[in-house]
Amino acid sequence: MTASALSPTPAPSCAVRPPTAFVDASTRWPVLLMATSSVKWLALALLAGAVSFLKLHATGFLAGVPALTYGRLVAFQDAVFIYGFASQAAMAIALWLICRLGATPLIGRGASVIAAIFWNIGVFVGAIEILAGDMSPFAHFQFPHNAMPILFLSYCLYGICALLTFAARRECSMYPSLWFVFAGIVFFPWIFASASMTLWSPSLRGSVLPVIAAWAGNNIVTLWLGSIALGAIYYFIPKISVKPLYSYSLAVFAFWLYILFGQSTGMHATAAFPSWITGLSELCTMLMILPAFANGLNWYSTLGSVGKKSDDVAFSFTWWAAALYFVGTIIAAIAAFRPANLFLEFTLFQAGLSSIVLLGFVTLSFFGAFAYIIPRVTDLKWADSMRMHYLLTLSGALLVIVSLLIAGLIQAGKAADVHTDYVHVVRSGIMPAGLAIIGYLLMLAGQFSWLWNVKSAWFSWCCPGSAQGGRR
Amino acid sequence: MKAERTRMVTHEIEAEPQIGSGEIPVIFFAVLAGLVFVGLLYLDKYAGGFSSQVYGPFESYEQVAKAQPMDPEAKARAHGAQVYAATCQLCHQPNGLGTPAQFPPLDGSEWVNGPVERLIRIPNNGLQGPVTIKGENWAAAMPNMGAALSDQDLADLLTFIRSSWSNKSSAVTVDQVKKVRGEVGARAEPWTSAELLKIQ
Amino acid sequence: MNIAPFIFIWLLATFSMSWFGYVYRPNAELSRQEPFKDPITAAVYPVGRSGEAMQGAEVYRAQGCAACHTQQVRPADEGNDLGRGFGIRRTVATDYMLDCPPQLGAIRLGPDLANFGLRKNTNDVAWIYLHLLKPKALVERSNMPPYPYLFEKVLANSGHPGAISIPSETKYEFVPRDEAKQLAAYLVSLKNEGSVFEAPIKRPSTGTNAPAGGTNAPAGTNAPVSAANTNAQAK
Repeated sequence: MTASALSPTPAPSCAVRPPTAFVDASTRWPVLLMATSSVKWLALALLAGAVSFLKLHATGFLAGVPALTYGRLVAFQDAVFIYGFASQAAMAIALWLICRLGATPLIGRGASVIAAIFWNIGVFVGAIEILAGDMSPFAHFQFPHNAMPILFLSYCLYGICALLTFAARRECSMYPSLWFVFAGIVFFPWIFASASMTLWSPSLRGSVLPVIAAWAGNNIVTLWLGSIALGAIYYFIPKISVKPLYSYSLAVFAFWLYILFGQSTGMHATAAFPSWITGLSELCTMLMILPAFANGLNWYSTLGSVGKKSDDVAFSFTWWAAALYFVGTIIAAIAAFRPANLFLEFTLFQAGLSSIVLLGFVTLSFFGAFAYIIPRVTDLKWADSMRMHYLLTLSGALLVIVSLLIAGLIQAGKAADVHTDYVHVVRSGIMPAGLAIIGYLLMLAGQFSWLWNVKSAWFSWCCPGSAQGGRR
Repeated sequence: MKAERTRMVTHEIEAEPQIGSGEIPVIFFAVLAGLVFVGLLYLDKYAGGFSSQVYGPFESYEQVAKAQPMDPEAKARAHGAQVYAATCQLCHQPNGLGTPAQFPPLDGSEWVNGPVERLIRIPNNGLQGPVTIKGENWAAAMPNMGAALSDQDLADLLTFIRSSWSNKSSAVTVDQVKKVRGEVGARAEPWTSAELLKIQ
Repeated sequence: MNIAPFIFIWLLATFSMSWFGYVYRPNAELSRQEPFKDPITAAVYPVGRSGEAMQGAEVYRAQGCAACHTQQVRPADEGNDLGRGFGIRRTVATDYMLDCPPQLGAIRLGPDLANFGLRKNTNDVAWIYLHLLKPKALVERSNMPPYPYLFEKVLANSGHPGAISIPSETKYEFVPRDEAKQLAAYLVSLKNEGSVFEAPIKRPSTGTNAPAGGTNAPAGTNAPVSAANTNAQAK
């Protein structure tokens, strides 16, 4: 690693940057805690996913246990994935990126750790309540209401630390990743608070709630998780390949349009909204291909001849995340075109679309970030067996995505014939969806290996038997 | 993960990614403009005027309002209003008061609110000669404006007139119109007041 | 140049627009909605559910039925929901006015339930109980899981009133618990048969050629003016 390589004309008011290891080490405990907890929640979500799909095949499996009924497992999977894994991972990565790209150590290390602990408490409380039956029917907001304040307040504590660190940044120019990260950490509390204050409010009629729930659920994925995932990809592709990002203007174009159009997507596969909501949603989902192409061109031109030859796990994860983001946006745009939308509504294709974004784009981007971040904040070498985690996670995710998309297409084809009994429509998709069980189990196995390897990081820090220099 | 420390020297500052100055191809803006244009057309068709009460397959609030089920009398009145606007409004005015000394009023007129058989004959064949309307003397010269109307149109028109403004009389049915037209036959001359008053 | 404030302004502006459009405006327009009165039949819709059915809605929510069953019906031009008997008209926001919370669902791994109460065979509550106990007994190759814990297992022929017996099970019978009864009451109450402003139902008595049921959609969707004329002169 070379010595300082500041921007070509450093402004005189920019402070001297601290050593990178110092900055990384300042984020150690919050990031490590959040990363490890998030992957544990991911493992639980994947297990719930596997069991729930298994129940579709063997309907009597664990049918006598109320806590494990299909509906509760699906809600558990959704909520734990979004808040236990993805949001927490996003928080960790956002924190690290702010510190790195701002070249400033974290402000509020203890507070961040407390925030992370309470976040996990909130997820735990919500998850238990879901299994007990107290859940909401709103996608991505399945936790009961009383878990929301815990999560919100933890996030506020975290957000204060993140924003203070951001404000204290010493790097004067904002790298594109920081735009996305800033957008994500600012949007999340707005969306979360709006949803919390409306979806359970007794003064709102039931006629309004589905609209708000669809809007908030989409924004959580697109503007919070998606923003952080894009920020991570924007950083790691040029960073790992040691090349400059190709174009500033493409990044600007993509960012502004992503934020503008992203707010109205994903609300068209329903039949209970006024036409303007479905029409606008279809349009914006199709318009999202513009930022996707801009991002894709930017990353592709950045890589140039590097391609996929690098065997760095972080790079491979990030590459796949970028590819699935691009492909997923295009598939979603095609599926938003009105005839296609009507064809694919209410089938497992919607689950497939959701899994491209969540299991493909977001999860792989976050794991790529973790593969880069964890060794550096803990000052430990990433073991070679982490390649197994990469292979298992990637193959599992792809299997889930492809099987659900195909299952959905088959179901849609059968559903188009009004004379086909609905039982047969459903069954035609359940068979291919069975491959998703294998996909979930592969990913689950990968997470076990990740947790096992990271466990030694914890032990080496808390039980300093073999601790050597470099510890801060 | 092996507990093997990386030998990072703590005072190093890593190089962070730089941003190149690649150009954004103009086609992005062209496609954006094109998609926005097409998108606005799409919204024109599918967004129902951004009204909260327009659901597919309706395309505008007016369509929804027109599609509302109406009881048969309300339907007849609504249709009659259209026929009135096309046929009678020019002379008798939208408010049914006509023009003083030119066109007599329909609002409150005993000819309108009286026996239906009298009323049907007036637009069917016209009215000629001196006639007393609401206490005033008129020299009627009304042509047979309603002769070309179908039975249903004429019935709806008269239903409308008999139930609009301050008129509150019963509706006129298609059967009544058919019966009267049958009785009148192929008569070409307009009616006179005296002839009409003989009809009960 | 510090662009963070500009980014913040853009974020705030776009968020305010979408918040206003999707949260504030629907609430301002729909939250004071009154149940709709049919101009011809004077029927009011929606009417509230009975107390038992409302409790059943909670049971529905707690079992996560919305994970497999939707309660949204598409109009005639947008899918074959009406042809499948899922309802007599599409669903609109008014249908969920009194639901707290509305259980729309997003994926159909089972038939739509918005008009379950209109199905011919559901006057028979025993059908519902048997379906919950063993779906495969009634719908061959059904993917629906059984819900035995909504019932109490008793010995067969032990004289419990209302005990349900499963075809393959001779030793035991099942007595519905309160949750099962409430859920049945809720399912039977699921009806969207009222005409509403946004989705008017054409009555055959107005003498139109439209099929009895189905929305009063304009014929052809690219000529709204002519469609309105068709409507006005419909005989």
